[in-house]
Amino acid sequence: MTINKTSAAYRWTKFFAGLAIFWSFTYVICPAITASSDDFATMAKFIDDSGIETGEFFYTDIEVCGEADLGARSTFEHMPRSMDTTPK
Amino acid sequence: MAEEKNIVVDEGNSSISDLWLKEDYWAIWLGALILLVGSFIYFNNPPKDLDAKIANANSIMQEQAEYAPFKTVAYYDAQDTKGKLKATGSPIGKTIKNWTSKPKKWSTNPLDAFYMDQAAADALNAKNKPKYDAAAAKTKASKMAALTAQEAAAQASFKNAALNDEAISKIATWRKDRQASSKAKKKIKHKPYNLFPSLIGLCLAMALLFSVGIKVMGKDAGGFLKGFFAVFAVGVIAYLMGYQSTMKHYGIGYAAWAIAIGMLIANTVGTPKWIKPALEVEYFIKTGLVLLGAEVLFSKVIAIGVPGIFVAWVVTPVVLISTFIFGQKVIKMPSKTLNMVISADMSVCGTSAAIATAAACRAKKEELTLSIGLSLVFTSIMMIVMPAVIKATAMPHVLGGAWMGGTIDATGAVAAAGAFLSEKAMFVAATIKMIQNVLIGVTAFGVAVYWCTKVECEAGKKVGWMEIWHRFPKFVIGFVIASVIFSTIYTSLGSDAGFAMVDHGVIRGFSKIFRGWFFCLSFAAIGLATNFRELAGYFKGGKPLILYVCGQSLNLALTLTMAYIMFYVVFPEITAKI
Repeated sequence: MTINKTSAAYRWTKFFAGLAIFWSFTYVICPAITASSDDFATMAKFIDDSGIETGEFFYTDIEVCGEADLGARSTFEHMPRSMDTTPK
Repeated sequence: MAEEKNIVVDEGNSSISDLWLKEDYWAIWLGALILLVGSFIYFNNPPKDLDAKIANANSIMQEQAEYAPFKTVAYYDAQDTKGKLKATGSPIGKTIKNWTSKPKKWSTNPLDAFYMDQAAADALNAKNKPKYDAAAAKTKASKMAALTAQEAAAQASFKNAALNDEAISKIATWRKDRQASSKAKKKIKHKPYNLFPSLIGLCLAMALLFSVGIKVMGKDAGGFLKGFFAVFAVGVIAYLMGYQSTMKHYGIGYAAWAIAIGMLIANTVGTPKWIKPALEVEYFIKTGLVLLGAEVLFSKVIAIGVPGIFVAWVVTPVVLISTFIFGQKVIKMPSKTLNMVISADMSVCGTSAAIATAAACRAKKEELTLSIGLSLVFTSIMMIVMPAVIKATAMPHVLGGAWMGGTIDATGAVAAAGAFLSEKAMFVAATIKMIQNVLIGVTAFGVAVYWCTKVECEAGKKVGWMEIWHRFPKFVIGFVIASVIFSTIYTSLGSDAGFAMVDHGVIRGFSKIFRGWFFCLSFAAIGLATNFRELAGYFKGGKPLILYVCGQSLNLALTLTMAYIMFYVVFPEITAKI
């Protein structure tokens, strides 16, 4: 039996083939890349432990950017004296 | 994005009815409404004794800054106290968070992203408790060691460099342990959740919000509502996939998934006709961009670092303009809009810059998709390769952080790559990226003006001010006004209260949530309306890839050079105190 290129069966076959590609990308290809290199594996473990939102793209989406903001502001607003000045 | 692209606009028109008939204005009205509601909620619910706690913390930090030539334990304790002051921590902030939650992180069972019962939460907490106890004990011990080393340095009146270095090192260890402990603490605070009712509520609220504008603009509001639920469903699945643990390892977030899932549907079974009235890509994007304007806080940038401003604000425009000219003159990119979107995406800050620029120069949806795809691939690679290169070459972490912050596109990937090296690298990388994020406003405005005055007019013809006004994408005005208003509020409150009330109140506790959803809906709509063959046509000859690689190479070289000059030649004293 041949499947007509515009038939519903053909289109749904393509759809499920696409889903299979997504599934293999998520559960086979990416984990295999991670396992293939120490650098990838170490970074993956770090991301799991730190919980950093790697997929987000603006600073307000990322919690640690708030910490970086606070740390940077502190440095500029209350910069520790230099070593050669006398403590108060 | 506009389908009538490539047509030179001779003259535009404006009328008072545009205020309620054009989606640019509706984007402004809806954005303003959300920002007003968020402001009303959070400015009426500040953290208790906010001003007194800030004043006390600042007084301790100033006293410690004058006492020692490095940040002491008491200095950091006071800084941490300030960091906990957030309007989002108020009861209403927590309620809003619960009712607007996106799908949670999951690994193998997608249902975990939406539902967890009490028993499962208790089991997770019990499993992680020993790890937290160990981390807490380690933090306590390292704090004692830090205090002892600091005291030894103080006994020598901070004149002994070796003792000072020992104290700095012990304090850094304590900070690292403390960070690990606070991460471990979060893993014993699991609570049961059921996101299905809140997602349905959120969907209805957004459907209603957008359909008012659709109705007034004279479009098919009923058709929009029917299709909206399907677009929202694609958005939910995109968030679900973006929070899958392996996808997080590669920084593949909801934006990529929304486009991919949408395109899968559109190019296989076909996007059903009843969904098409809800594919209002520009309406969703522009509303999201107006909200994004409130997150572009210029005053924050001034507060977080002069060296970073030079790195981000000198290199970024140079790379953006050079790449665009290179694309036009050397590569001869067939589409100016694609050239501009890729140049901005690569040089400014990835997806968010691509969205803003694409909307400002009216790029086609396929061009935005292609730019985001390119950015995603290189972000995933650079997020892993750059920290490895920095480690292998023993590059100082401040320099490495600045390099990554200025070159890796997505902010999340920058934070991860920086934190992977050290807290110091993460702080510098994230700071540079935040400064670049703020450049989105200038970029979008500049591109909109350039397109109105130079690109969309006949060669040699002078364009008058009124003509520029007619053609100017009005949502950019909403974006700029939101930025100016919230930057002014942030400044008038002071950076500490601004951090607590604006950044960690109105923005992170309200507007950002809607902005994220609106972008997600627009990406889902883009995917659902994109023909794969048309998209492939834009990639013909590999010109977009060549443009991205050449531009990014220039970016890598210039950013590294400028970061070295700024952090090690011009401002070494600041670098020493970071």
